[in-house]
Amino acid sequence: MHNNIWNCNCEGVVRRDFLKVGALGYFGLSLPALLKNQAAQAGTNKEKSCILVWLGGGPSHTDMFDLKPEASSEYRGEFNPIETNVAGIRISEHLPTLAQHADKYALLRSVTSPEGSHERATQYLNTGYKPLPSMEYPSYGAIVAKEKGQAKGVPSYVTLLNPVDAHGPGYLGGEFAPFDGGDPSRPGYDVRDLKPPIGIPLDRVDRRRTILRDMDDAFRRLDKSSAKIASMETYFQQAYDMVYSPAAREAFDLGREPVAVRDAYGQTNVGQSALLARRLVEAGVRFVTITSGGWDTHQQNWARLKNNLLPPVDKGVGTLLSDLHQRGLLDTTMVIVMGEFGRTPKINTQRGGRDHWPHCRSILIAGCGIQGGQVVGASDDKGAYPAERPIRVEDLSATIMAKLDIDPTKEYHAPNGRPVKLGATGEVIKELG
Amino acid sequence: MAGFFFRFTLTAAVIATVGNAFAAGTKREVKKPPSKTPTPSKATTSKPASPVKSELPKEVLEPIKRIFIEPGTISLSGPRATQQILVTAEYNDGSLREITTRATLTTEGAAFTLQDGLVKPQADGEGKLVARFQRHSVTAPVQVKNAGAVAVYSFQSDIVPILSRAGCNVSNCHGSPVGKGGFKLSLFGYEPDDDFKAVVKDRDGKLVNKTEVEASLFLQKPTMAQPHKGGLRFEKNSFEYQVIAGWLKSGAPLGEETAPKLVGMEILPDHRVMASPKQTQQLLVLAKFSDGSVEDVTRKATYSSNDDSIGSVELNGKVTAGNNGEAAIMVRYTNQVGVGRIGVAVGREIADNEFPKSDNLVDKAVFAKLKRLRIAPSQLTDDVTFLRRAYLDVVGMLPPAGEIRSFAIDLDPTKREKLVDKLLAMPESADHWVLRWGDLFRINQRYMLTQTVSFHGWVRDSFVQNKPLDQFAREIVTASGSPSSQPATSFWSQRLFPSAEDRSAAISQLFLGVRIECARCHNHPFERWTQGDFYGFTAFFTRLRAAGPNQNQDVVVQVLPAGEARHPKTNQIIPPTFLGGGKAENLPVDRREALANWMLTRENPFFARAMVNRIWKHYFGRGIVEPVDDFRITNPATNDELLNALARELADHNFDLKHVSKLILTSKTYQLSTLTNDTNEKDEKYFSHYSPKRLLAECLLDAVCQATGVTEVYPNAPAGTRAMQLATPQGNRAGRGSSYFLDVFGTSRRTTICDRSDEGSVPQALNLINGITTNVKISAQNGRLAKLLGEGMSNEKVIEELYLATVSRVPTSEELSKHAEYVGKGNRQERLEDLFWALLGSKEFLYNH
Repeated sequence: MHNNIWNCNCEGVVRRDFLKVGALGYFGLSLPALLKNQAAQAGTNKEKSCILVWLGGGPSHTDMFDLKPEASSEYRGEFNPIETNVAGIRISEHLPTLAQHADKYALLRSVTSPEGSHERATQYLNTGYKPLPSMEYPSYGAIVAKEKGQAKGVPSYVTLLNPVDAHGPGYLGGEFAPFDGGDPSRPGYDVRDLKPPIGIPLDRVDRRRTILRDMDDAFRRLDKSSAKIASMETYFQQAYDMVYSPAAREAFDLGREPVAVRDAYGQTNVGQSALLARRLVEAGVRFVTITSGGWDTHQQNWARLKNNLLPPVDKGVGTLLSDLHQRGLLDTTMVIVMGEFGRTPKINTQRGGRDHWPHCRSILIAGCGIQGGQVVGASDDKGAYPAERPIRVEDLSATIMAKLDIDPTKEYHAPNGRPVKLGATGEVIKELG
Repeated sequence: MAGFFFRFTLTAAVIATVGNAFAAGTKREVKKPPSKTPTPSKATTSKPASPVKSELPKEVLEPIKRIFIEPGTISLSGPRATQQILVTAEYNDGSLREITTRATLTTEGAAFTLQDGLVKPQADGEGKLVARFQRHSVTAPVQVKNAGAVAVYSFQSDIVPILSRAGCNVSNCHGSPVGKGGFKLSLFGYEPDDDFKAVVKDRDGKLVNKTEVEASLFLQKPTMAQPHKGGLRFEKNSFEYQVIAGWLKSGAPLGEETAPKLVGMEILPDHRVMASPKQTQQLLVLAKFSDGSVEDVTRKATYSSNDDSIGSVELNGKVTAGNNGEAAIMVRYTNQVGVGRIGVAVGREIADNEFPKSDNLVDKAVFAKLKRLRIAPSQLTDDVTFLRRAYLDVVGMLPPAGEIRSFAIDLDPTKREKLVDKLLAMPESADHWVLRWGDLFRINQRYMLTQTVSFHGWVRDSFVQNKPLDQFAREIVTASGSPSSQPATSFWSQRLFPSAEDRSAAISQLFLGVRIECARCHNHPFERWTQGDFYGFTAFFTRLRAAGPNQNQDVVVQVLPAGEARHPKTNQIIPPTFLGGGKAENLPVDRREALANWMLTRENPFFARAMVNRIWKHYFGRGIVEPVDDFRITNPATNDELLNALARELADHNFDLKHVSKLILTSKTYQLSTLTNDTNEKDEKYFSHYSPKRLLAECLLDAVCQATGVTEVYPNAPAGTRAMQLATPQGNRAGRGSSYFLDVFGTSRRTTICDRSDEGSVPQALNLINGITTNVKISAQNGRLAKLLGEGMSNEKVIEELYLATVSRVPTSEELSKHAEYVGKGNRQERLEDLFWALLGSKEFLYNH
């Protein structure tokens, strides 16, 4: 799997991976080599986390990451490609910031799936599994929250802007539901329920806590009946940690960032969310999902992309990648930019846009040791089907798990008894390093 | 092996005996040991006076009537045949206990050897196996043939079972859709012909080495002689190793084309109760073939238990007793699936007077089972707790303070039954069912658009009128046209069911309690349903066209003159076939009518049981079959007698929901406390005590509103609508206020059939601590607390009213003085708010107990 020792991600080898090392694990390195790398990285031992930028509606891949300037006018579209800082890789002219950081991310240009309806495809891409009416699969965020556990005082999994249903915990249940972080670009931004209401200072919160604890103690007999009931106390404990400790409140407080930084990310909902995501990940949050909406451009495709949709993502994600890199966080932070499907290579001239197209699309992925500055897979001359190295959604799922140091073959037992692998049934994308 | 078409079948023995035999109990009277404790006048738990009887050897207490060997005659043919035997003692009290390892076993006639309960052939001839125990003995004749013949191996019969037992062909190893490490097997061995190819032929036959057998990768990998990511599956020279080696040496054959077919499987014993701690019971599994021959496959079958805490099972089918209860041991051998039901009833016998007296059929069934399992029920709960419980379970509301006070002092011995009658007569008694069916039907604006409210209204009317459940189901199943003429057509929204297969899976799960969905893509792993069965059921829904709804039109459901279901592998047309039954004859134009006619009869094995199971789950938090819509042989009911009695009652009374509800609500079982005793504290399945349930999100929000006296207003719903009565999910992720509360407390999104959650979470805790919903209502100027303060009451009086309004009882004197002291120490209003807050966040409030 790791053929290049220098790209091997040895930082943050968590204890359970260490146990696997003896059997060559899935890093494929010998023990001495790993230990050497681990010693070199001592001090930066941080748990892996992920920031997902979800482009809801289906972003047009042939206008963003996989342009076809040689195709006929029925397919080409209005945008031109520009060079990036990696020779041979070109992306849309309207993603200039991302173009300057192509060395940091990989582009998967042959991701293919059969699901072309919004709801089904959204569930598929966010969970790795095709949806079933009888079962709700957990989102990556919920899985990561469960596997990584919680850092003290902050939630494990946070959603920003308007999350979709597929970002939920599915059958993993309420314990792994995302924490709703709202829209940090709004004036007077404040996170729901993190601060006591006006008129209830912390010492009053404390008194209330004592009364409640005494009441529940007296009613302890209920705890014996059910682990679920007993676990309410854990949730209260963690909640109070967040209320008392400044960690969460400070992490969510964008006012602590210099204005110049806030401007660099862009004073847009996506931009400020990207900045907030970085802060959250620094504070120990394991998974942040930012949902950008409006990408379902059946009509006015190019105007909307150029004016409304691309600039915030370009500036926000581009600055995020650069910022993470400079702070030495990119090795432990995964960044993914994707939507539920791509859009038709053939332009719908009647409506002035492109329609749903799941058979081929592009996904941006970076961090956690993923080899940047490369393209994996290729589409055909129109961007319609994979020409080389098709990548399934399941493969992406396995890769996300593996790169976050989660065993993709580990199984949960869904409520119906069915064993469900965390990494779906996919194969890790080896080219990513 | 052309034409070898595998079908999952159930042995007739299993169908006939599973469920009925154990439910009926042992045929003979259980003789009670002489009671050493006085019998008190009311039901209390009595303690045994002398050494615990179950610790003394059984033979000391009960004489043995006889012992017997299974199988009664032993025939071995061929050098490889073996026979597992069981020796069992029958006691005078009718109970049975395996004594194989304790009996003295001898052989007469040298034709065979016996070791560890396994008979192996030595030479042709006849002999006898003799078992002796205490003063009893029994003989089984043994016949050995062809002991000197060449050993015959068969891939299907010898190797495929090993692939299952060793865990090779499970879904996350070689049985995965893409296999593993370049080696792909069929899941659970469903396709033995493909597996043969994969092992022997694929990759140029590299896996097998017929000349240097031990060098075969097929042996080296699972024994870790070569690196194997799957780990050690069996040791070198183990039983599995030797079989594979023998098969390889004999040329790795597929097996004879003309070999007799496997037609059935028998499990012995198919039901048994173990009465000592950590007692064991070996299972014996016999495969039956089309030529009448029988083969012992005990060491080839794969075993698993549905509840390891009650009965855990080892690789070779030995079950060990755990907690009291009943475990279903699933036995799989190639295409056969069966269940052995092994019960554990350790501990003292529960005296009759420890069960509340009752003629209610629910109680009779529940208590009979508890007695057999030696689990004593909890006490009946007190009046005030019962009042709150019944109010919440029946009408989703808290009892008013006045009624709490009067119910507590009412001396009428029938007051609980009268309460049930009163609650069932209220229109709010429909709300719970409308909410549940709303979740199941996914009544959601995104699927039903403008007809959402009217469909919801139709469902509500059905339950307010107490429409018979068969009529309700029929109207849904056969709805056609458009919602303006038949509101039930909204059920068939194209957005919910894009295909006939989706309809089929839904109707089966909703009304028959069968999750046939798994069989859509492959034969069901734990049940008998095949893909053929799934598509046969789907055929009822192929002549249907449901268009819309979309922004231009409502859904329109049309019956078509043509449309068939085809088996995805063979492309053959499969005619409409009832589940577990025959083909539908004389089909009407709308095939769904034929389905409804079959489904909605008294005799139909699915519908009534599925319905009573849902009703039961609502009141008890757990179905008699759990999950509530997952009836299968390998997931038996925890009380067949109860399930069957209730199903009969429903069917005999016009499928009247309220009739069955009343029967349940007036039973003693429903009135049991949540406080457990030492015999039932581990019981989660047999209803020996009430299990606390967290209030559903909508019910909880309504309770908060009721307690604080401040109602909630919902967009697009008329004023006064309670959360329980809302038509469509209120959640939207960016939601504010009440919809966030519902979201965070686990309301259903109504995008999948069941995603309602009663689990806790950190955002819930945060919402209770800091959220606006409860905090604003607590301090509202028009709220309960403000009113109480305005009336000039003492602290103690206010505290009492707050308790009544939230946890539906008066505080104890200790609670009262402690809280009054707290309030007295500071700002009165603030401190009473603090108390109110704590009550609304307490487990006692959040849970129905």
